[in-house]
Amino acid sequence: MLFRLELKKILLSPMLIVFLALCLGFNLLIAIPGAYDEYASFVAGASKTAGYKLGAQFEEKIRKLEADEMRDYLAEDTAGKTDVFDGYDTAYIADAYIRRLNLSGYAAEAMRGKYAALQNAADDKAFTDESLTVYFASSTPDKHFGLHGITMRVLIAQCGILAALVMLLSLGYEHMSRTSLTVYAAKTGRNILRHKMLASISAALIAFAVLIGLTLLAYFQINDYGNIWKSSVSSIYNVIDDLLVGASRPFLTWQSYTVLTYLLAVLCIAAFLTVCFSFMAFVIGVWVKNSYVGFLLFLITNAGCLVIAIMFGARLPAYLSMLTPAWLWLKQPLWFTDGGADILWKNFEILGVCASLILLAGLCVFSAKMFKKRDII
Amino acid sequence: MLMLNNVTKKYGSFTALEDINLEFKGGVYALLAPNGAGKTTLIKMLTTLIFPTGGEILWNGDEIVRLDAAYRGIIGYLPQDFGYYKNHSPRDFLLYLSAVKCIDRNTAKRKTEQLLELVGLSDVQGKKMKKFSGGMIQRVGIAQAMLNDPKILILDEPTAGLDPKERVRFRNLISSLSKDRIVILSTHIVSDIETIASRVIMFKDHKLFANDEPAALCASLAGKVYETDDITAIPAPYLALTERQDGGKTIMRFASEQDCGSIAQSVSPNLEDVFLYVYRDERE
Repeated sequence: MLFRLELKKILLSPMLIVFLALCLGFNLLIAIPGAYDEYASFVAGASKTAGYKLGAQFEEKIRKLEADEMRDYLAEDTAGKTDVFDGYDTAYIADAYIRRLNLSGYAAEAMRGKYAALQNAADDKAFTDESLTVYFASSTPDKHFGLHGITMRVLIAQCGILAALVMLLSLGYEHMSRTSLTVYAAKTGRNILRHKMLASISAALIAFAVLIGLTLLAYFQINDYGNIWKSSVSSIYNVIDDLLVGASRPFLTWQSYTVLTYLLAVLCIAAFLTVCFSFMAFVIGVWVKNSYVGFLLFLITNAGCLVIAIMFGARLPAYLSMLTPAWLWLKQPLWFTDGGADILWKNFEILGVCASLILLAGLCVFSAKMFKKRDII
Repeated sequence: MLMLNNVTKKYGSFTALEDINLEFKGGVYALLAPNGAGKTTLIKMLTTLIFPTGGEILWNGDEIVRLDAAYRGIIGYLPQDFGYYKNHSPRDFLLYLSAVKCIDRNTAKRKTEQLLELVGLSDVQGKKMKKFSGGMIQRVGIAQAMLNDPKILILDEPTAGLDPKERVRFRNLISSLSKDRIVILSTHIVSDIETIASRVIMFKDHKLFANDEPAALCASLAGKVYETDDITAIPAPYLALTERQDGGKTIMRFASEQDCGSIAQSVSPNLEDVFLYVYRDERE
């Protein structure tokens, strides 16, 4: 009952509705229309008849399409491709990082270990010819980064901010309405924090579903994916520009993901990351009465996490900071891959989200216990 | 029975209340003291909003902090600065607070209706409270405090900011609610409690100064309060209490330790005289 009433209070708050509308407006009017690519759209259309697996059959079906400049370009773009993972050795990446960053001791060892483990993933992909899928052909890096590096990153940032605002609004509601004395002296008392927390997380996830749902719906209306959904994200065309290695390298994921399952996996981690931001705001909101000050602290805390990595360079605190929600958000385009030179551990996004959830949940419990003992003046 | 044993509350080096011993059994207890004397501190300790730094507060022998929700379930509280959700109607607000007080939905609906009737807000129960007067808001406040039919009703300065008509109405309401429960009422307005308090509790220098029936407190000043229309004839020292006009003359009411019966008329002390006499230092 109380949970429902707290949720209603949040969902009907003008702040949430206005912020959600502004985010949707921004995404629908500015961010998404810019993501349209005519060639990618043609590839998606072609995939409906030619399928998504590269090879002779694919080339044959492309040749049968109505002749035009795009068809010819696609035929040329996809002709004679070989599996990028055949004989691919990941050790060169570890060597480049260790050399360029002067890594030694545990960091060097962990880095070698990570890429040794990644070799298994590369071998598996080589075995299944996973890279021989079309994705968006030569438009793939732009399209992949457009969805995962820009759109999803913007969406996750919006959801994180919304989650924090909603939590801080809920926790600061009684202070702003001057009802805290009445509420905390009632039977539920300070235990109302539990209801507020659950309601805020629920509201954040509802906002997450609405914001991401509507934005992606619009995105996929504009950007046709055809049979591309079944393509592997580790397609030969999907590459990462790696300055430390000095060349582009394949988008090599730990597991096999199609474009669809990769998006679903990203959404799943994004939802847990939103909960992390909610927890973080809860801890701040319990200690800081004023919601606006609380939000400022939330931003400073996250900025602080980003700064730690810069301050500590290639040392353990910097690597640990990569597991914080702020860095996980920033590194979103590399989720489910090795993560690059800043990451020492396999599956950093799962590790980071789990570690953040556990640590922040512990801090939430501690803060709530402290709040029970604190004078309400 | 609600009992305070040697209760002290300190904020750093500042002592807000020191070594308070009190018992509340039934009836209206008035906490009468000037602002800043510690009334709100005591009330906040009684509502578990703040915790004593020394001593203990017991309800039927159990410490209220340990009783936690079980204790808060039997109290009703109207804070001094009663806040409300401006965009809620009194009905919705009371239903929300019923949920906070863990009252089941059907009982909450019934009690909300009854209490809004009792405080005379039935006809505006669906209207948003942002347009309500101070008196109407205070009535919502007393209604919410009564939602759980509390055994202990705690009202902190409930008449502050009300006009005289609202104040009388409120006083009558409190009087009608005081049967079969402890009502603890904090005020610095003597007229609020003169007729309804069964006991008056006074604090001075952050310590308990008096805890007695109003008549007994007044009796403590017997023979010391006078009225005169020529204050210049009264030998110092004396304490000027109040003035009133009578037949074109200004009648001065004063208290004196000396016998002024020959030059002024001795009158029966009232609670206001006691208040002004006890807190004469704070007036200067």
